[in-house]
Amino acid sequence: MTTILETQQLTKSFGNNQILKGIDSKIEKGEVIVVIGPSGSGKSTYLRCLNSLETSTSGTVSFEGQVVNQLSEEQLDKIREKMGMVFQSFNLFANYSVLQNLNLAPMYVQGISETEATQKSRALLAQVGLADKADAQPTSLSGGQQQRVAIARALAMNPDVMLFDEPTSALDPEMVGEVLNVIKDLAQTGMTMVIVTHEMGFAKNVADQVWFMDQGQLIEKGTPEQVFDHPQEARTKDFLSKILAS
Amino acid sequence: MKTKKHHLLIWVLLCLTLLVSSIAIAPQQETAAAPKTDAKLTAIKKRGYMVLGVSADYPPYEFHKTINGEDKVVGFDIDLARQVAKDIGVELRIKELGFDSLLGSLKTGKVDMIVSAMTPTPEREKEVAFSQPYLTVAQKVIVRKGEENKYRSVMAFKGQKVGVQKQTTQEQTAKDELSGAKVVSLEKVTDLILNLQQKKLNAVVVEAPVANAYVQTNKALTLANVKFTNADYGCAVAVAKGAPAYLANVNKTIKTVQKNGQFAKWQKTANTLMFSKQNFWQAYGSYFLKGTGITIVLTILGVFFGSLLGTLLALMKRAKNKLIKGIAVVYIQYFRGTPLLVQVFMIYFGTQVIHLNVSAFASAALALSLNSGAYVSEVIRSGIQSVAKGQSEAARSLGLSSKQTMRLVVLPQAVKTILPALGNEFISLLKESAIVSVIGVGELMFQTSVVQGSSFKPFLPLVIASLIYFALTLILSLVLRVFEKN
Ligand SMILES: Nc1ncnc2c1ncn2[C@@H]1O[C@H](COP(=O)(O)OP(=O)(O)OP(=O)(O)O)[C@@H](O)[C@H]1O
Ligand SMILES: [Mg+2]
Repeated sequence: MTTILETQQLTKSFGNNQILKGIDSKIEKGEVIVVIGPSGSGKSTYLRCLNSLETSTSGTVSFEGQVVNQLSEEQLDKIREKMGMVFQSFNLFANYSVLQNLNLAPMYVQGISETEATQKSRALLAQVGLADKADAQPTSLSGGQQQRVAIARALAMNPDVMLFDEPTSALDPEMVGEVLNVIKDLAQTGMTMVIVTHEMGFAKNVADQVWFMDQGQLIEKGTPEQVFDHPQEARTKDFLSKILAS
Repeated sequence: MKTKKHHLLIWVLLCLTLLVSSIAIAPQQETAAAPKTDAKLTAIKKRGYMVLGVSADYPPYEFHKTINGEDKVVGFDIDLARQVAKDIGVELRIKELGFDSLLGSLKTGKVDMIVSAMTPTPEREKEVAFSQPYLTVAQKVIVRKGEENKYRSVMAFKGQKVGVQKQTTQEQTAKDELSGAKVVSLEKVTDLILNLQQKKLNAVVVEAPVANAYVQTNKALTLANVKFTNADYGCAVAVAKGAPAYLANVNKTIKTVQKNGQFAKWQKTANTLMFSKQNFWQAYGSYFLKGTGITIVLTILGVFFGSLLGTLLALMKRAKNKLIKGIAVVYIQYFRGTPLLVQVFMIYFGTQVIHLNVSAFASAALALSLNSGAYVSEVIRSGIQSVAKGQSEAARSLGLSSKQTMRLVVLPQAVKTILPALGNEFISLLKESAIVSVIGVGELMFQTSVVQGSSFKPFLPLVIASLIYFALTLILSLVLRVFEKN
């Protein structure tokens, strides 16, 4: 097994407010990790540290064996290229069509010609079931469709790992399924993924490992069965009982 | 070479001393004492023309008049200047300047003489040389018609508000001789008259030719029968120092035209021209047109360069480098935190201090650009801020650099908020540009005061100017609204 992402004693503070309090974690190639935890526990911050959208306060983040903390801006751009990120609020570029959203990074970052990029983008749109929406404007799409475009956009860069930050939290319930199905299909292809979600059923189904985060710390890690059915930590039990009750 | 120069200098100095002492002792002998020629006179003759510096907004001395459809500078000062040139045997060219820039232009050789209702004062005599006076002027008091009986002596002004033009002989006279009067100093005669009509002033002290003109054209005003004891003064031609033969030529012309009655004829002509009835639009329409044109050009220049500068400043303000960021922050704070009027003066006079010869128009365009740059940068900054943070995060997460993110994702979206705000900046700059009239740029406000001066109508030109500004901003905002919809 090769380790793709690793953090050691990772901390992150905003001012005097320490959000991440020393996180040791390791993500192996082909693994699907689901991160769960209460609101404000630092899940998003953790993901953003993984792809250097936030710079860590102390500790290290390594990507494919390379410590990223000391890298220059240009080198960090190169690293982000290989990590796709999907946001809760989709964040499709409002000034471009769906197809252009997918084409942009391949053309300007990888220098691929527009024809080649378009060919690949269309294939990806077909993969997420939106072949007919290539020329639509993002705002004309439903939330579920937008999120599927966002996933396709991230995949257009051929990432080595995909990071999902609550990809279905902003969706109407009837659209959650279509997005989760796309992610499930992606898991089948062997894509390495870190997924922050509150969809416990989905987590059980797709995760190789479930991590429970609380107050800036990774409290418990294990297979879905271990964490969901036999949680060891009191805080995990507490969290799960609240989730299941709701 | 060096010694030669030295000789010349001594020679000039000698002549000058001689001249000055001869003027002091016996003015009538000065012509005899002057040498036949000097460097200045030779240069003028060789050139074939001489340049008159004049501030042509002071009828009947010098003013604009449309004659046979052509805009001309007329007045007895101009006639005198033309005669001086004729007697020297060269052509006359007229250069219009603000009164305040006249002396400086003479000293730097931009003009060869000033004939512009200028009175020799000790301060001015330090800078330039004056001819003997060609006109002696008395002071008059203008009051509202029907109130002239209240003001029969200098004592009658006790406690009354009396208007004078700032830094003029009249200001001194009013303070010295109208005992107990509250002297109010304003910039322009037209403002004084306006205030008098609106009863904000009870009397105005101006010199006789101007007073006569206003009383003749305005039925609501009349002259008070007040005699000053020590208030007459003369108007003289100014030339550069150190040209005794040239000055002697000027004095000779003055003497001649006074003796043969020519000067009196010119005065009459000027008065007739001044009062000749003309359709207001025919006479002054072109001034408003020209002023509007210059105002529009200034605004466009200001917005264009202001936008370039503003973009640069907005980017500088986002820079990581503390120095670059600091410069932008201080710049923006300074230009937003000080009056445009002060900035205009600083640039116009500041460039002169460092010996850069920047025209008033260029100074005005520069000041407006620098000022608008500070405001535009804030417009751009808030435009950038209006774009959701998720947009740039998504771009960065795909590997786009911060520059690419700015160029490809953020700015194209920011433009939607920036354009309308930029339009508002355009409108406010158009209005603000009126300020640059203070340094003599011929934009709408400046032309308005020219018309106020030469038409003896202090109020109507203001109304017209305000309507033109209003129309311009209205059109502009309508155009912007159409743009915004698309
Ligand atoms: N840029 C920032 N500046 C200051 N505080 C921040 C910033 N980003 C996050 N925080 C704080 O860090 C804490 C953890 O935020 P984070 O978004 O990582 O939590 P989360 O686990 O993702 O929660 P949620 O489930 O609500 O998304 C929150 O209290 C948040 O207010
Ligand atoms: Mg979050």
